[in-house]
Amino acid sequence: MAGTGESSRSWERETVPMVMTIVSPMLAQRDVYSLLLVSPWCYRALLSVSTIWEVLDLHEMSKAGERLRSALLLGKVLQGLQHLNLNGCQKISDVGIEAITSCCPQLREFYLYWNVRLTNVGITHIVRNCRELRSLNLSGCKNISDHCLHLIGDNCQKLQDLDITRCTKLTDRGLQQILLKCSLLQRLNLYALSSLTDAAYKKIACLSHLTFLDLCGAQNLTDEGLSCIAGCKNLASLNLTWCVRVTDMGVIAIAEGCRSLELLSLHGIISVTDACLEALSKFSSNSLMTLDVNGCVGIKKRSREHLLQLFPLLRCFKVHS
Amino acid sequence: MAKMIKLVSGDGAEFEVEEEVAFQSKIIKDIVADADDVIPLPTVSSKVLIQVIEYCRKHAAVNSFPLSPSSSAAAAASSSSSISYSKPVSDPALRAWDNEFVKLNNSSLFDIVIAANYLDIEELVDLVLETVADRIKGKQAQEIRRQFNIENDFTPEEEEALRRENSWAFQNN
Repeated sequence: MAGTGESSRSWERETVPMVMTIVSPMLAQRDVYSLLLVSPWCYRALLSVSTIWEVLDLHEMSKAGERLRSALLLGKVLQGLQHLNLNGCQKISDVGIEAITSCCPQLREFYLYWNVRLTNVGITHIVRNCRELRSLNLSGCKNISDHCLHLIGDNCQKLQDLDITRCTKLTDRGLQQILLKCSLLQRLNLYALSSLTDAAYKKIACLSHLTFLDLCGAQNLTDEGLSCIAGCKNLASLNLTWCVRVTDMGVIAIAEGCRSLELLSLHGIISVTDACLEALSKFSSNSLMTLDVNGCVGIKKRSREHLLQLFPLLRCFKVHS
Repeated sequence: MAKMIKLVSGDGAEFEVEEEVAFQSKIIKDIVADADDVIPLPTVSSKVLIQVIEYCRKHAAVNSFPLSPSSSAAAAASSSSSISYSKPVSDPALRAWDNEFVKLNNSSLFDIVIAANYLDIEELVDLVLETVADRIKGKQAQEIRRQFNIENDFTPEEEEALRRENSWAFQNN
């Protein structure tokens, strides 16, 4: 509606910025930034819409470090940032982590998948600066050690979701810190941490809110450890792929303890038999929707038809790892 | 006899509408609950109010005779989240009508965004916002200015500085 005089001024300075702020929450990040550049009126109006500055997603972008540095120039605005996705941004170092976390005290979700440069130093900054953390993804950050878990346990009491897949330097001592101190945890991913033992696994029972547990590759997990885990009554998703020391005893304990299981993988466990399926069917037949018994040669009746008889809600027969 | 509500536009024109039509606006519904049947809407012009009433009339007629359980379920479900797109209108004839309705120039469209947002008419807000978003998506700042006839009020220096500062947000940089 550009023309001369008042009506065009009101279009530029009031109508357009107002509409842009109303529409901004439904736009992609890239479009929001285009709008910033449209006019000074849009720029100012958009900076005041706090919800669009809550999420920053740089996952797998090239030159993520530079981008992050530039984003920090938005300074004040990023104080409200709640969700930061740096998955696959492999060049970001502890220094970058310090910079971003010191600007974002409200951060709730921080994803750093596959960042091999991250060390205890970076973790120190995260836990000191971001006291509101609910969800932390450190999958593949193979340079972090038990000290990190001590730091997280001491500082992140509100943590609900932790992924330490493939952080192979971690040992029982470190994990125990998390299990004892992060009592609000609902999701815990310990995929490919094959050096852990029952000494730590038993303490998973402390997590009364746990609904999701991934123990794929836990080759030292025994029935004793698994029986303790059965104390997590709210478990809905349990991945025991390649937990080769587990037998019927452990799985039956799970069946009796966790009666709202929706996903279970016993993939590759050769010592479980039909007995454990019967126990599971007794308690979780009205909730189980995914069951992976591929490679469970001890189970004789594992055709689709047999499984559907025991678990009528089954939709999915293989858990992808 | 259906209960009537009187809406008064910013330029003083009066419109009598059935209660169920007016109640598509959550604001109006709340005000009327306090027993006021004449509702002044000083920020809405009669031109815009006519269009909004047309939309509400059309949608009230459909909602009072839900075609299928899914359409009323969709209406119920869409009242929860404020940011997501509402569930698409399930009746194809109504959807076609909606698509015709939003074939508006930018000025009229923006007026309706502001009015619908103010009056809190959820389905209309989602409809017009989706239309606006489509006109913005994937465009650079200069194209957006051209689309909506916006002057570039930045000085060349300001624009260059902002572009540099924000270049990080664009993937192909």
